[in-house]
Amino acid sequence: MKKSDLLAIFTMAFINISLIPSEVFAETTYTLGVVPQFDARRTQKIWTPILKRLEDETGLSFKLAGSPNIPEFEKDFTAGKYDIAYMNPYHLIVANESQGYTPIVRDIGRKLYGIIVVKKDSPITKIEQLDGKLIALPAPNALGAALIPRTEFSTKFNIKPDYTYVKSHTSVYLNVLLGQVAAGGGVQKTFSQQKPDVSNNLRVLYETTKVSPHPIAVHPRINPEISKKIQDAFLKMAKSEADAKLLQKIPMKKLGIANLSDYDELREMGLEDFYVK
Amino acid sequence: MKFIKYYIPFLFVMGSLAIILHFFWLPYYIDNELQSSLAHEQEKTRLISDTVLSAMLSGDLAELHTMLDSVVENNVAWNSVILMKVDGTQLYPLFKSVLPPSDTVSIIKYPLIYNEQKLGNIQVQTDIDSLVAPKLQKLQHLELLVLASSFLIMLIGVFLQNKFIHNPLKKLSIASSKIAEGDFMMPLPKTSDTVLTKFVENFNHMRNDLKHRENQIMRQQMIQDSVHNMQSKFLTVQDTGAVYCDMLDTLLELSESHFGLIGEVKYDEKNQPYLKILVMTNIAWDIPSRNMFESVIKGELNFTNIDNLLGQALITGRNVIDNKPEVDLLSLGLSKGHPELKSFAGIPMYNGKQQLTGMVALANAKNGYTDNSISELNIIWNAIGNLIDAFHRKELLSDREAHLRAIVDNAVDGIIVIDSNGTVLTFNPAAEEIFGYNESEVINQCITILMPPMYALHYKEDIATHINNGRLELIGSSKEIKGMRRNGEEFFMEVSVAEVKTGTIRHFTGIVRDISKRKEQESQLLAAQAILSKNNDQLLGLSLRDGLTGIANRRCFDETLDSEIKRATRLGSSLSLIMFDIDHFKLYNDYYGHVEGDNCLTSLANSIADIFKRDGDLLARYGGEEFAVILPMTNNEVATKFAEVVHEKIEMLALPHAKSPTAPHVTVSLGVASLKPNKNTTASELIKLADEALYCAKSEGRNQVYSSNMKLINA
Repeated sequence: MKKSDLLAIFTMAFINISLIPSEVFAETTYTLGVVPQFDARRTQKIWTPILKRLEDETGLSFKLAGSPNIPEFEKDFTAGKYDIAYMNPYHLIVANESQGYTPIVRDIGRKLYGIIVVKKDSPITKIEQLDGKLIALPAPNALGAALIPRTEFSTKFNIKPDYTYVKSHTSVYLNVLLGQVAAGGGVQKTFSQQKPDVSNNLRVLYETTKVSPHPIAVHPRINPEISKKIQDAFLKMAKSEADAKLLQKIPMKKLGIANLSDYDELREMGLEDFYVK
Repeated sequence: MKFIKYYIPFLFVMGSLAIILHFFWLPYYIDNELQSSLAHEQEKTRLISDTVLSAMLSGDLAELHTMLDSVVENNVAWNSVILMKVDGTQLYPLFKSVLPPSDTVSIIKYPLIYNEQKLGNIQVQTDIDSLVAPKLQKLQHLELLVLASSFLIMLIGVFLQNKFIHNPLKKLSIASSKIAEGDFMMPLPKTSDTVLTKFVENFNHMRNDLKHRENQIMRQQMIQDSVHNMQSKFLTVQDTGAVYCDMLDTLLELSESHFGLIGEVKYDEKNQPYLKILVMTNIAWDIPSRNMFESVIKGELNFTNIDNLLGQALITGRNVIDNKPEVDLLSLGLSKGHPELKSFAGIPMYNGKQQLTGMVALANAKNGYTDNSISELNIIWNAIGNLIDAFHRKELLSDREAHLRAIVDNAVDGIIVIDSNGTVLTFNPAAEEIFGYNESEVINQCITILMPPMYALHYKEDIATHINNGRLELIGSSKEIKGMRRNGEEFFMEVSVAEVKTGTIRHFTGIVRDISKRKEQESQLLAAQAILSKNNDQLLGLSLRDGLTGIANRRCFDETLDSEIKRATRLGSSLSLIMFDIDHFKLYNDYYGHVEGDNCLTSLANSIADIFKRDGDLLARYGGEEFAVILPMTNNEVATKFAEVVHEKIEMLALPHAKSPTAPHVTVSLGVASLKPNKNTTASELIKLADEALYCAKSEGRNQVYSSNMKLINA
């Protein structure tokens, strides 16, 4: 056989082989999509060890996935792109309704809620006083800082303030501090993270309804056994001190089992009316 | 370091460099830097403001703060950054702080403008100086470096300059000044193989040149001196032989020859040239040669055969050089035993008019003769040529002088020469004789001593006049004037004076002849002549005079008329004739008697004779009672007038004539005729005319004048 003929045979073989879908060969790799709350690098930094641990624990193969921004992420999970996904509670409702994603674990140690802050010496003492005033919010769909407050302002308090979306929580606080807005919406976590110069000069006016925080949810196409395996793995990790540290970074202070019913309260809030598409 | 003064310009340059750097460049540069830093910071501010603007618009104050925080952190020189909204609210930093104003702080304000609306401004307080400080330090280091290195360069440069240029040059200048003083042997500095070597080489050449030239000049000077010597000797020394000797000696010395001769060219009766030896080196070795030498001194040695090496120069008229002459000495005219000729040069001598006057022969020069060595002495050849000529002429002159002297001394006439002041310079023997003075008594005296007193005065004036006007009666002609002898006797002398100008000297030469004897003879002659003349007249008179009246007779009249006609023809002039006679004379004679008649005639003639006093006019008795007057060069009108005068005169006389029918006194009738005679005219023509006129006068009534021009004038 001539050399060139040999080369041709090999090439053809290789191409044919590469055309075979990958799942046929090795084991299945499960994609885990993480809401782009932080930038990609940070997300990777947090989740890569966790996935590794998961792989160790489950013997399954996981792949981290994500999207550049939240709207994309929403599109992706609405299309069922991810096998597993970490998302905020509101997303869960949407994902559940569209694809049937079900939560398996969540942080059971804390509750998710928003706070409304005003300048320390502000004359405003009641939410009602914010009617028609300018309120700074990070982004319209930020769950705790914006979505829940906005829904409540309308449904619960019947006020119609003006909103300005100032990109970040810190920005919100600064806007309030520097008198650019009457009040701002954020979350306790980010508020606590502010410099004393900032936080000492602000006052929390109001705390919203508290809901269950972000779950890890699985797509219905995944075998319930597999789901269970993953769930167990997570729970196991939560018990281990070393792994718990990893999980805290998600952030999941205290990982526990999550049920769909945990999120009923949220569902009933009617957030989807205020969700900005 | 002796050349410290050479450092001064460098120090000066360095000093000014330092000053310029420090006080001009540095501050200027710093200013520039500050400016550019400021501009830079302004630009930075502008860029920040762009980003700030977007954060401001979106309200993302966190972003704003983060960014501005990092800006402040990154810009050490920015003391504070303040972001103000248009309404005055400070968005950054959180809390207001006021920094004390200081000179080193600059404030940059940049407005934040969106859609042409001012939203606020960014104010940056920067400490520009701190920004510039590092650069400034670098610059100061650089400045120092530049100064230090230039100082070093200068030091090295001057040191090298000293070593390689100044020192050798100084040595060179010392050498050259020595050379200028004349010390040619001064050694020149040695230099290593630099550009100066060439310089020193050239200098060496120059030095050698100078030396050579000096030598040449000295030689030229020597030659000129010897020429001057010769010329002055010629003027002062009488002994020509000695002068020639000196000349030859000089020549031998200058040409480094052993022996030679100088000769004068002369021509014999057949006009053949020969050489008369003027001087010859005395190398006499035996009696014959000694004799020859002596004949030279006597001026008797002549080389007549010049068709040999010796006379070649005379024949060709050009320099003859032979450095290996193979010639028989005897054939040259030299006697036996004459030393061998190892080299020979024959040079013809010319005077100023390019005439050959002689020649010089030289022999046995140390290194032979060359054209150059001969032509080097050209001025000597010229001088000798001229001197031979001059000597010759001097001889002739003295000969001539002697000859002239002899003439003067032997002259028959007295010769006196005076100068323009009248001082006697020469007084020859003849003059001595004439005036009776000795030469020594007259020389240097004024000429006036030889003159009679009245002339002496006049003469003095005359000389003055002559000098002023250039005219003296005496000069150029001979005049008879009176002279005075020693003993006071005045005598006549004939003097002819000539002016002699030689250069500026004016002399007057007078030739004097004692003519007293002649004068005497002359007067005697004159007296004799007078007597003779008188006698002659008397004699003439007898034949030509009328015995009775004493006036001219008929013979005289005829002769005179003829000659007057001839004269008038010659001169082309008019000749007139008056003829008149006494009216009724016969009656007078009859009445009064012949004696009375004669008296009448005489009286008439005498009175009429007074009228005709003109030269040439002739009153003559033509006949018994007829008279005629010849008037040469007189026309009719004038002659007629004369006739009237005669007529009137006779009227006035009024001699009684009782028996005249015309008048109670004697009257006359006159006829006038004139003509311009030609060669054919005869006397009888004129007489006839006059006669006719007289006839008319008579026929018209007598006692009147009638002119041949038919003018009738009444009595």
